[in-house]
Amino acid sequence: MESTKLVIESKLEALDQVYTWLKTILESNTTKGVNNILLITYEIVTNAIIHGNKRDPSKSVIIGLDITESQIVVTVEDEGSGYDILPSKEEAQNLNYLEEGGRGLKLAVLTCDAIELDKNSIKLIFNRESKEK
Amino acid sequence: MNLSLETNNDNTIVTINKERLDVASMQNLKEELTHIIDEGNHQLIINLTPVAFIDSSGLSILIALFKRLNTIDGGKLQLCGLGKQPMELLEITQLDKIFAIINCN
Repeated sequence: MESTKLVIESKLEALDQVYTWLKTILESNTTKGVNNILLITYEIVTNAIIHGNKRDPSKSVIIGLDITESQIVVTVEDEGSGYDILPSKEEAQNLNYLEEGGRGLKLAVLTCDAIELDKNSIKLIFNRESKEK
Repeated sequence: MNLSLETNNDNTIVTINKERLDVASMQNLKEELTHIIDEGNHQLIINLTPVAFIDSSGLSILIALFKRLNTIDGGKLQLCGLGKQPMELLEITQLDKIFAIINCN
């Protein structure tokens, strides 16, 4: 099991760090599903920076990564007031193709195996079996 | 400048010279692409060969371009050079059925 975390400032430039950090670790641990995990994490961290911490660079976003034989779990925690509710699977499936915004959480609901909310923390769970068959 | 331009018959080929088309690059790119359309380039081929990663904000740039060109008589958007992740994203969002995707050559 590998467990690691990254703490970033709440500015969009910090997404560079997230991308490089996560891509490097994922590519050395798994062969399939990397792009999806990278995309969904990127979306949720972007939400944390913009909506959670309101781009206040004095506030942090903590990204945790736990890799086991069966799962890859990404936890994103900000200093905001927390998520209200997630879109349902049905809402996520009814993506308006040409809508210009509001896709990030819907993509997460569509492609994660499970999502857990706990105040201002969101846990994205990806089952390795289904991704690596 | 994140973009390079060349013309081929009636098409303007716009290459996005960035590894990531994302929320951090969105505003500048949107302005540059709007400027290109405003200058009268209405048949655009967006070459995404250098782009390894697109997020939902990057996708919204392409959607905005598509919608804008659809409102112009003779306007047309085509995409080429899609790598693995950009293509997967278009498939998840079903935009692969909406956008015209061609080979770059």
